[in-house]
Amino acid sequence: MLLVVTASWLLILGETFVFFDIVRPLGPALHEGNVPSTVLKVGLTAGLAALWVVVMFGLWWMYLRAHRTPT
Amino acid sequence: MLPSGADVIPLALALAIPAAAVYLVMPAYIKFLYSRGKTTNDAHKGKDVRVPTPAGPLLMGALVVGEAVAWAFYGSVVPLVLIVVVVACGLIGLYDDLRGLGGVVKPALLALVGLSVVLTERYYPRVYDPTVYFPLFTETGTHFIIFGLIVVASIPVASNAFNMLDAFNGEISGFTAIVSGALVVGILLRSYAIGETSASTLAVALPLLGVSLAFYYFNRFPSKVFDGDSGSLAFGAMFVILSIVCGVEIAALVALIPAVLNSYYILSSVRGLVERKQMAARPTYLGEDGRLYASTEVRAPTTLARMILLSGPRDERSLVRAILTVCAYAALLSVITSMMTWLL
Repeated sequence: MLLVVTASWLLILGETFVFFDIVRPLGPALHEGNVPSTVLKVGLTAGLAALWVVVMFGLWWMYLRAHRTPT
Repeated sequence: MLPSGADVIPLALALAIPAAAVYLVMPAYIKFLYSRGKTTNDAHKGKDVRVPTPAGPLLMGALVVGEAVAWAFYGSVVPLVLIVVVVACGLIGLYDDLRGLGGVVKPALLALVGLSVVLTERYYPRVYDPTVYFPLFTETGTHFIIFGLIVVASIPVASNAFNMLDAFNGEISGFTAIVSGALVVGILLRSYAIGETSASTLAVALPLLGVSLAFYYFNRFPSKVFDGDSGSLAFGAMFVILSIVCGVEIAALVALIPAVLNSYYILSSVRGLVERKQMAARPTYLGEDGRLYASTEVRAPTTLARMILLSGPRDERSLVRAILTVCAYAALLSVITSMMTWLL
């Protein structure tokens, strides 16, 4: 479980890097930008959240598979 | 700027008065619950052990007293907002304890409490700063609407995460004490880094630490009292709004990782918002040897406890110690996150 918590934390830090170095420079601030830029930035941010969910689901699946538990 | 010597007494009172209220009043409150027949079966004991519940109203009252102390010394609007949040979410939990609320109605009502916080900030903008500070990098811009949506969603998510981690003796009280300790460290580091006086912010955060520590004395194995949904929802709502008004959201999120994973895995395995009472199977079961085992039923929800028990059966005390160890580890990561946010 400590590894799962660590992975979750590292993913938050990694996604923070992606958010600030890749997503944020894609356009001006949300309230100043045009619609496509705003949609792109909000969409990519939501994608990062979805990625966290998918990775956590994957870890759960692997953990249960390692312990051969029916779900 | 760290608190000055003049702040020692107000801060000590904000911590000690609510803690003392729980410690001194709880024995009489437990007798009161027994006299009214408000007891429930402690499901993880071998025999029929009745435990009084809910302690939530007393915990809510102690938190209100603590925030009133903070308000008396520093006069900010924040303690008043926290009082409204604790009482509203605690009452929602109390109704759930006594009558029961659906798996969808409860989060919807909790979201309304979050909306009230956002509306307060809209018309009296001294409650929180609609900016998120991230570790290593910088802060986001000021986004009232996006941040407001996060505030509205955060109360049902955090309150239910606390509620779902309230299954074993001492689990919720120990967890709340650990995460509120991490929150206090985060607030101190933030105050030191950005030069704001931290005393008024610390004063609103300390009652949660004091109340949860005092409650742990009664709630630890073997429990003398359970908090009920009124306690766990009040704890969860207060924690998340504290993190928002104190500007330490990411550190709080990291401290909450075990609770978030627990509720996420439960909701994933039962596929939807389902009340604990409505779940088709229990995640763990008590063996004839008095130890807890992970359920092998396909319909059983995947909880943190069940995942830990997959490594082998444990008695309840040992299981809670393992869960709180995971929570303490997440709290340590939260402190590291605070250091990365405010010191690097």
